[in-house]
Amino acid sequence: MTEARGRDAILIIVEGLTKRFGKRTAVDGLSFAVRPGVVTGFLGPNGAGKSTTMRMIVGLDRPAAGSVLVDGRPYAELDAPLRTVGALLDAGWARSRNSARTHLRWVASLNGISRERVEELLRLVGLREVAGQRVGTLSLGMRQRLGMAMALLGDPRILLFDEPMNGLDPEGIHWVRGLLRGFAAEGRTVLVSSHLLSEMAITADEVVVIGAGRLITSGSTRDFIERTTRAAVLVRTPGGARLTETLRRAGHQVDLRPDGTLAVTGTTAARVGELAAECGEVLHELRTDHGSLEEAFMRTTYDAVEYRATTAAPASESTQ
Amino acid sequence: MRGVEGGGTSGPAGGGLKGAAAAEWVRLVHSGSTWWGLGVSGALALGVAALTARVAPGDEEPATVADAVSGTLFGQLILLVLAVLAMTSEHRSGTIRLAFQAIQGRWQVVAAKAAVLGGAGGAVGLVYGFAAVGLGSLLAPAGLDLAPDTATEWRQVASLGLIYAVTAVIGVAIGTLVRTSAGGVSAALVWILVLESAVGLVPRVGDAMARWMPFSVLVSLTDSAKIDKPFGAVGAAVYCSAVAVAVLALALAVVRKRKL
Repeated sequence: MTEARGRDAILIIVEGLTKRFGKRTAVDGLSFAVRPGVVTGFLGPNGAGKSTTMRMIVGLDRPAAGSVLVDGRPYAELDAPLRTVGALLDAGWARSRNSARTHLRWVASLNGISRERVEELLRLVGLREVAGQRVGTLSLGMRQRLGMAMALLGDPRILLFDEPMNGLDPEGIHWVRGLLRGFAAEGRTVLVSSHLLSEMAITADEVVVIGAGRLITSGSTRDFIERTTRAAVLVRTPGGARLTETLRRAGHQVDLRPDGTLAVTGTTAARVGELAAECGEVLHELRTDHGSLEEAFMRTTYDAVEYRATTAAPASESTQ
Repeated sequence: MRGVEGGGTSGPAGGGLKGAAAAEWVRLVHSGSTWWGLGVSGALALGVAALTARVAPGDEEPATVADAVSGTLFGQLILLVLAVLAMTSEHRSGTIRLAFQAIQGRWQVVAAKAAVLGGAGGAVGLVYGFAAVGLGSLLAPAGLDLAPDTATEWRQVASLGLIYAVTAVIGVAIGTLVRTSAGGVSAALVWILVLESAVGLVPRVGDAMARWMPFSVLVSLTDSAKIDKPFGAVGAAVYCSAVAVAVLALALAVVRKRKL
């Protein structure tokens, strides 16, 4: 992006946003900001208020309190909104009897966007071959692609995606990830909700985590994981008993995992290696486990999960 | 990718009533029901005109211009249903949300729809009216005059433009107010087919009320030689247009206030 507002301008500012449906408060005094140039993951358990928040950003739901600024203005003041904010909130919002091309032309004409741009996007999302097919006959993955194309029509500097990877095969997921990262690299502001946490761990530079309509945390994905999960040094050794004793004597906490690995907390891999050398034990594996986004997410949102099976428990061990 | 435009303030405009109208045109042209509706109502309009011209009326009075164009009133019903569906189908498919995302001021989405359907409908009504009398005169045997000559006959044909336009606008308004396809179509058909004639059955005030029923007044523009009191032809046209505008205004007010 070469224009006036640089990468530092905050393009989505949500402040004190509140939405009630009857007695239920779906979004409760939510505040966060989304920076341009990075992919921001919008995470939260089902019913946390992610979709409602996104709908309020584009003016589809009216907040009971609070405000949203996009590109420095309320959404309602944008002249041709699709040229500023591209949103894919539900890929099912299309007339099933229209062709993919007609659907895009219809959306484009709402904001005076050209037919050439429609063709360009059909090519970009790989739907040119099926552009004449009825939307109702497209697979879920193709519909998601159509939705992506729709969001991009106005070449917007702000992109919102609600679960864009739903229904996509691994290749499609890879493609979406590349697109999202590409948009961020171009300096756009990208907010994407997803429940695919391992996917978000790769895709999102920053996260906004909400639970029961409230902000739990926001900031860099890496910081979030490191802050929330405990890093552990994992050791595999044939002399587990002696090493455990040595480590404990040195003041470290050691847990034996079911697979026979020792998990050492409160130290570094280097220190564990040194201690192993001192007591003459052979190490088969020595690595640091930083915890996963999933683990961080489960730990922070456990209390805020509204719809939960009674047997569910927070993930205590990482799988990374 | 194209360069990013300055937040929608520079670059080509778009949105507003103009964008909403452009999109409605795209929808209209690309929906199969538009063409089916046009085809069926055209066939009925012309079919009735041909029958009027060719089927000997026996010892009854000779066929008139009003008879020749009477087949267009089937098309009016079809148009009413399509106009209701034009709005309700947006709710069913979810596309109304895309329209509201793109058009600031939700009322503009409805207003543009009413303008496009009213305009297109009016044009179609005119074309069908004149096509009907044209075909009728072409097929009419010697001695039967189905071409409009008098001012009254011209009014009976030309008013079809107004009849179709008003019907389309009222249909859009009903679809906006009711939102579901089944409910909207039922409401529209009950109004035009049941309510307007049933009102006459109300004791004492029934007759007076019946004279003010908008669709009855509207249709009298084409099927009556003399318009009932309290209207003249111009008065009837103005009254029906005013009813359409009022119902549309109600729909616009509702769409501005209510949740999606």
